[in-house]
Amino acid sequence: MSATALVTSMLRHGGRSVRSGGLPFFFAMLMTALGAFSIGAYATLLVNFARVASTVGESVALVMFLNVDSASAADELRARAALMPDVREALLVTPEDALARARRGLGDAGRALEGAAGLRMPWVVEVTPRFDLGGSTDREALAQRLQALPGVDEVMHPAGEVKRIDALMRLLHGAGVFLGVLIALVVIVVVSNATKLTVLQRREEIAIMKLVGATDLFVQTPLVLAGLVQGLVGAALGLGALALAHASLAGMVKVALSGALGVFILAPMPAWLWGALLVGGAILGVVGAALSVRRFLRV
Amino acid sequence: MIELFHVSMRYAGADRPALDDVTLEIRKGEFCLLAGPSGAGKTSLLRLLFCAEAATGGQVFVGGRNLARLKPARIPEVRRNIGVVFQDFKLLPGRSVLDNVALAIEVQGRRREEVRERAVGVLKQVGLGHKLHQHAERLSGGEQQRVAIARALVVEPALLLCDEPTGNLDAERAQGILELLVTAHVRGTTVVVATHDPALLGGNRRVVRLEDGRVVADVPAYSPMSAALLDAARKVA
Ligand SMILES: Nc1ncnc2c1ncn2[C@@H]1O[C@H](COP(=O)(O)OP(=O)(O)O)[C@@H](O)[C@H]1O
Ligand SMILES: [Mg+2]
Repeated sequence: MSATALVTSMLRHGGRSVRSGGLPFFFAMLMTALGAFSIGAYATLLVNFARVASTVGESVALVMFLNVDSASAADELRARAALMPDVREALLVTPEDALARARRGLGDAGRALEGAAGLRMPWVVEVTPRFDLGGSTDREALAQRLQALPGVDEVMHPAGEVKRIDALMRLLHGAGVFLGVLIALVVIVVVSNATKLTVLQRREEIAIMKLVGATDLFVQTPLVLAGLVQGLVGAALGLGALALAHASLAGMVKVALSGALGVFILAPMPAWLWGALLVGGAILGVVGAALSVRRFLRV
Repeated sequence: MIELFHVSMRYAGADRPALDDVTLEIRKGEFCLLAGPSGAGKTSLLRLLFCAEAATGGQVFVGGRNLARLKPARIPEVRRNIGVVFQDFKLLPGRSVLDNVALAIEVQGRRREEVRERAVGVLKQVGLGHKLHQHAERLSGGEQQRVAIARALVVEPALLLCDEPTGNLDAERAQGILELLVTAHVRGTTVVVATHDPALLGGNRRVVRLEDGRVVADVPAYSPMSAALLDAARKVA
């Protein structure tokens, strides 16, 4: 008895399971493809939405008002802020610049400030936080940490719209996870159903194999392998379709959306997600098949 | 080879046992016929021996193993040493004669060339060398019987169990089948044949007679003379 002979023999029986699987088998594969495509498409949308959101989110800075007198003290605080995690950039604004900005900001009323001698603006540092996909940068906490630095008078952070973007991102993520779980369940059910039909269809053959001394492993492995093929090939087909769709859409989107936002390129989803969907499809196929094999292979 | 001590067996829902207090020993190298009318329990007894049923009482030993204590995972091991010729053949329709015979060794994980070689060899022995690639269900009853025997013999079993192997065959074909079984026996296989065919019961062989699940007679093969002849035949074979 040799292990390779055993494996090739089981592979051959797996091939037979695939061929005798018929319509349910291809239906399961199609559903897996559809699932991988949907999750991938959603993830692609999310990635691109997040990019737009981060451009918006990062353009809204936190403003630190300092109560220091010297430029060097102010710059030291700027440097400390810049080193904090979650901070992408920290810019120093001199009192003169701050005054000029205040004037511009006030428009006509700003002229009133012109003569106001002795009006002194504080040193200001503008802090741009990182904006990540998960929306996990906690602006409130960052503001508190900045506030805690010695020499900081007050930290202003325009929370409103940023919070709304954060919340939306979290919602979209939650919906994505929900969608993913739902699709995973559907894939398990259809693969399991296809396997069940194969088992029922090949019941006689399986019974005979066991009567002539086949082990459970010998009978079950080919069926589980067929499940693996359904999951893996299904996911690969879905992802292939997604790659094609992305390639053909990317050009159109670039033309349609570039301009207001600079050059807008439809980004693909990250590489790890492609891999994860492929592996996920394979795992779901195996799980679905194994469930049926355990339930219906009592001969 | 086979020992039964006070074995009883009752199918779920049956009102009487299919086997009732059967005590029996069949030694290695014996050719034993199980006789008795339909419903006597012959098939049930065979099914006990290859673990298709479990005894509800008593002890069954096959090749020194106590089947009652056998873990389910060990059943394939026992079956690989037993060739079974089923009454309904249990061939796979839609598959070739060769595939059907090969299946029995394939499940043991043998190399593909070896599987093929041995299957072809046995099929030639039973006179089906010219029908290797025919679909099993297109063969005549007698030919299907031969395929079934070939599948049982291809594993070179220590024990060969046959259920009504001449069931629906005319006398001439039945004789041909018997010769195959005798050949296996001469080569050293222990053979147990369940039959109610008088033609098979004529020879110089041990006959265990069952009725209503009980052993009612156990007639040994007589004449030591023919035993000597058998030994001589074995040496030649
Ligand atoms: N699967 C079964 N379920 C219930 N009763 C059965 C089953 N198989 C056989 N029997 C009964 O067991 C008894 C013995 O049957 P069997 O072993 O097939 O006899 P034989 O092979 O000698 O004709 C009969 O009474 C038969 O009706
Ligand atoms: Mg019978």
